[in-house]
Amino acid sequence: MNNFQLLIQGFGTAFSFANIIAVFLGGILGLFVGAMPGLGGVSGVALLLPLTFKMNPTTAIIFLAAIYYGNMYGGAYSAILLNIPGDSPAVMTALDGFPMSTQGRAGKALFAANTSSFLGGSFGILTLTIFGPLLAIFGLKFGPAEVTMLILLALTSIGWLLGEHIGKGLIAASIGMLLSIIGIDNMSGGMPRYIFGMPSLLGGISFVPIVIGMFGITQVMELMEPSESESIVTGRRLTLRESILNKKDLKRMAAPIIKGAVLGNVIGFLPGAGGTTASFLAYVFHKKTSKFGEEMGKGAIDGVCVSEAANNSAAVGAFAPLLSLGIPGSSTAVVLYGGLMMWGLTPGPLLFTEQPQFVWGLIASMYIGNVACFLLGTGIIPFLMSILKIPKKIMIPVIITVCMVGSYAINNSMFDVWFMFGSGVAAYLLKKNDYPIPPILLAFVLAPMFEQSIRRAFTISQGSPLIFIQKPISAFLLAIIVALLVLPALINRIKTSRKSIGTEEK
Amino acid sequence: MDGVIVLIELVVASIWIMQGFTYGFWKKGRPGGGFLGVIFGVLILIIALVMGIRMLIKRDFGKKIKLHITAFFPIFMGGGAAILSYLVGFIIALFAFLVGWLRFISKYSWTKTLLISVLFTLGLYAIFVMWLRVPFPTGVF
Repeated sequence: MNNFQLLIQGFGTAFSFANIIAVFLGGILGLFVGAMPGLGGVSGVALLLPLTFKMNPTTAIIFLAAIYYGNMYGGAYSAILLNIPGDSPAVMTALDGFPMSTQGRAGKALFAANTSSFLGGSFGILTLTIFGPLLAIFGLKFGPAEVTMLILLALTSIGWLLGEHIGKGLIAASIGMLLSIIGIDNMSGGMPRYIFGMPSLLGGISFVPIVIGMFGITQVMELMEPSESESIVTGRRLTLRESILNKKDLKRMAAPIIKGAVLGNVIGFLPGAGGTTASFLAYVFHKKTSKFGEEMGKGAIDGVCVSEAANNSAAVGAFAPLLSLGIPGSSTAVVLYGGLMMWGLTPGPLLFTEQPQFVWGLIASMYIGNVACFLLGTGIIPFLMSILKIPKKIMIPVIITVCMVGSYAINNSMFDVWFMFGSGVAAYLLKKNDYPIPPILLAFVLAPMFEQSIRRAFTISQGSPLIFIQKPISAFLLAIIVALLVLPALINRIKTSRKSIGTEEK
Repeated sequence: MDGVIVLIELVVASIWIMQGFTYGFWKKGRPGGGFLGVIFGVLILIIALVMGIRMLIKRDFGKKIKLHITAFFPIFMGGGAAILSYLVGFIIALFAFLVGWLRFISKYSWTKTLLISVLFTLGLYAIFVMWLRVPFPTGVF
């Protein structure tokens, strides 16, 4: 039987009453959990895991999977409306989504995010259906050396987001890197690093308090500055009818969605890369290759589309290595892996042959779940848009409360609440001095992955850096990094010398 | 202000480099615990030094920024609520924070203030305490 015949059989499983309820309920919870700052995919799936104890294994995994990709939809909502990314991949969505909101185009941003999430997710599911097991094997070729180069490529690309003050942007990225290595070093036998005698730092700094502080609290502090506006929106607010995507919008959205979906999917298949790397690389790639690149970061619809398509495509892509090889591609996939094991389903190559009903039922449920999340997400847009109508005088204390609860809930720690306020003040002062904030957060997310893979690579090669050149994929990625670093300077130099020759000839 | 930030960066980078070496930069033929700390620290040190030298040469230590005291209200009030939570518990402290803000900063009437605060706090309680079972601090009372 080919994959499509198996998929049709899978729809038979997925269309059972219990599974349909699981998909819709999981989708709703996922949207909610994703939109709540402080919860996000991993904690959402982990927190809701006990709800599945009385379900049968297939229904339970379908439910958890629906929470997982529903969460990817929801992460964009708080990023667009409040400038508080619900989870780390949504950081890139906030860059353009929130400026769109302040310009009165929140509805358009939400519709664009939903459509891109749906199309990115659909592309991911289709690829998983056709090439899943094959692509998972390709993903296996990405060992520590290759992942190191991929993350290094992402870290190098932060340079493209630095804006006018390159030095300040680099400093910002480095701050993120420094913060990311605080805490226990698991690769050195649990040695604490940079904790300066504070036991609260042993577990490291969580992403959630930092992102809430640097986006949410900074936003609130800016709103508290004297201004005449009564609401967050500074421009004319579009009506719901005006917010519906028109032909022109859809035409402009096509390219970023395609780029995001393809890049996101490929990165999703790689163990350890994840949705954040996917949305970030896709964003930077589109910024560099699109004629609208200059507008990105200032409220361009492209930015929302490319990052949402990428993170949803990557979320689905992560199922390929999980199901076919038993390798969780992201932290949420680790929780799902635990769930599978709990129900006696051992992920790996044999899962497709021994449990075809389960695997194809799950894949079929993703088609249904993706449509369900799209419909649910689109259905709540009018309600979400009305959030921005709430006066600033109410929004500010409510946002602070949500920020405090979200920061506490991630580790049940008051330290995180204090850290959130501290990072908010620091980000506010840095922003006032033209330091960009996104590089701090992106470096913070990418640096631990980089450290883990580079140290593993050196351990495998017994300290020889040649490992990065000897492996073809790694060498190829290294060549791209070198080209990216050298080419812009070289092109500038050639341009300058041509100009000077031209002036001399005149 | 830029000058102050550069100075802080120089200090932080130096600490990270020194500490990094104590964790071990290269151990038994592979990177130690301080490997990336040292590399990132050196990176910041170099950039901050270049920026600092440029500032000294140009005698330009960055623009003077005007900070509004109102911008720090969320920190003072939120911090106050965080301190209060050790005494009365997290949820009650957040309720008090909402009441205080809406009544005295937003200048809403007592009725509106209490209505919004009670509804929002109940929502938080239902989601985080009853459903998600987040163990918020309950205070000393």
